[in-house]
Amino acid sequence: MSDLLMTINPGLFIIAAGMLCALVPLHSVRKTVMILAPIVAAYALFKGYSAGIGLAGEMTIAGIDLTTYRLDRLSLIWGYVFCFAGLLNGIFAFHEKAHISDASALIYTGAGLGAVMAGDLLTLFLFWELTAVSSVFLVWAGGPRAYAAGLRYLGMHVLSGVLLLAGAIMYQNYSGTFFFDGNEIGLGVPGGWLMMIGIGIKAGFPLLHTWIQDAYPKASVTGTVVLATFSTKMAIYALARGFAGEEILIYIGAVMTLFPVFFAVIENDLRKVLAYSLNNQLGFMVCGIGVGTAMAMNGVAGQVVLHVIFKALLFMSMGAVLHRVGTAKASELGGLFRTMPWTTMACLIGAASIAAFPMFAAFVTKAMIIAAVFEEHHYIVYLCLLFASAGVMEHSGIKVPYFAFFSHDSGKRPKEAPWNMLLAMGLASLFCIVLAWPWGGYQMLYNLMPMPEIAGEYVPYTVNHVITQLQLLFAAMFAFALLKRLGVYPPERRAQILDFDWLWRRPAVATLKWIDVMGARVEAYGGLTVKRGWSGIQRRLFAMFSPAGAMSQDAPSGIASVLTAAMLGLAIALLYFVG
Amino acid sequence: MHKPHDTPENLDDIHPVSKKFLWLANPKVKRNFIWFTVACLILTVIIGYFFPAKHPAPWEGGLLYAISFGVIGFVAYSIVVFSAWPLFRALSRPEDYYGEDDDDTLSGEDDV
Repeated sequence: MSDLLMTINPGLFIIAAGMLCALVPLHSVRKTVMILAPIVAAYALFKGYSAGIGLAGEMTIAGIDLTTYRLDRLSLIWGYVFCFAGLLNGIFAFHEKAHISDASALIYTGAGLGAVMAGDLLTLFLFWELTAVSSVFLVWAGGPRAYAAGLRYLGMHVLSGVLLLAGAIMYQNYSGTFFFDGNEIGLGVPGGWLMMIGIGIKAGFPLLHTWIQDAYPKASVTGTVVLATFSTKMAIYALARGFAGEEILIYIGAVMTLFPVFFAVIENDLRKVLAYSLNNQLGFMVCGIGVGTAMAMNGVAGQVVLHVIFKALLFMSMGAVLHRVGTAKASELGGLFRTMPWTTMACLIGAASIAAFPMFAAFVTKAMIIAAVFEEHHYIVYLCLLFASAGVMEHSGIKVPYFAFFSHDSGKRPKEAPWNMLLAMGLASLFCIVLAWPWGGYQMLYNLMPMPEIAGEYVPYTVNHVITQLQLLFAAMFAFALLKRLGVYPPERRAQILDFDWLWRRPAVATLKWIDVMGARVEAYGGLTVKRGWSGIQRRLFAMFSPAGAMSQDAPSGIASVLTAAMLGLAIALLYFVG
Repeated sequence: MHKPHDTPENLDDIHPVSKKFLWLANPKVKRNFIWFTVACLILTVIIGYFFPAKHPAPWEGGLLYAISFGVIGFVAYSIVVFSAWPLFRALSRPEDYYGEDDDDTLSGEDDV
């Protein structure tokens, strides 16, 4: 690889591949590109790190110094796992003949990779927004029921970017630079809070989290798997880079680990259960970043790697169920192990991994975070994390596999998942085990961590740790078996479960309707000028944003949305390269 | 078509790999699964007693240490499950509450 290529942010390679996919009509070529692009990007990362690139892609645009590529140990581990996730997604979606989904999945992957490789806040912001614009097509790929959720998703992500940009500009005014480094940024600098809230939206902070549960379960079978990887983990990276050691994150993280557990237990849609579970796992990471010690940061980085893999595995298994059965509602499923044994096995490995059973993925890394919290004497938070660990066992360790594959026999006899889905799940399962393997497995993960020499000091496989973890999990399983036997375990029922987004989906909509009625009254009683002005505004808004308007017509595949996205992409590219 | 039991005439539908695991659907196995968890729990308590942590939490003294994780696991799990009843009553609404279709039913692709 030439020296020049090594200095280019590898996210751009994948974005270019995504644009190519948008133009290529041949299914097989597109799919090959989808699989090869993340491999090429990973190779570029490897070569770049081996060559000691450090900072690259430095340029000055309109008097602003940009560092478009930073490759250090923190960004490297995120980069590798994003590339691996891109590869898994490419394999999992191999059967899908969806032009726009292919292109947007790759551009989204590239934008996510680009963001974690960004050396300054402006570059981060550009990739940040590109992830939002590109990924919304994956939500819309879920069909008509996903349109409104997609718009809400886009709104939240654009808001996140705007807050990040506003904070970045305030920070630049104070420090004179957009350089993004944890030694200088934090909550103490001007714009620090704005940036953290902006990042917090993407990271699923409490009350700002609802876009995850709203959009992910409504996306397409493959779209959800792709979505579950990048945005949230990109936000975790931004927090780790800029806000490590901010104590408030410990408490935010603790709340994040707890509240999803209570929603997940009453949720019927198993993909939504996994979306809550995702929130819960992000909580562990946010908590670790708040602690900010070397062990905590190693644990966070390791947890990100493993979480990307086992969460993808769980979403893939539920995606395979949805693909074959046509639904992922727990009330409609049961007994699928009879015809989908390999998918069942994959789901069980994912469940054991997220629940942190010894020899499975999260056993090492989650313990590092919890141990770091304990060592810093945050005992209440420590208890919260143990409580949340039992909660994880409930929703992802037991509920998802039990209600989908075991439980009562639903009588459904679907075929096993397609070969490409099984291959992707097999690969993810393999890594879930290998990276927690006591004899040379987790040590590979340690070598990738930001501070490998300190990671090596933590020995996860002690008799005491294995036994206490098993005791916690077996006690949870015993509680499940007992409560099931006593008939107090709640049945799965179809319902819409209200979350915090109720506030803007009901009262806010009602307020808008009230304003509309008031407007009509003003129109009726007001002067001719007011009437003409109001009508004009209404007419223009309707022409632009109504279901029949230019912005909404045939949203997912229509020419209007494609043109809008293309114009946005062009504007971003122009801003980026021309200034 | 509803096929509630693994009767011999239904075995043709079952995946060859799964045929070896049909015992998992046996009601007896399901009913007695609880004893497996009890046995494992007792085993971990006994072993845990002989291998205490080097740095126990302030509330973990003596015998309490050997069972503290089990207590936390059991209590936490039970709280979560019992909370589901009032939470469901408080937060559940009809599926079309927001006026949006919440049905995830796909056509069910049989082949690719």
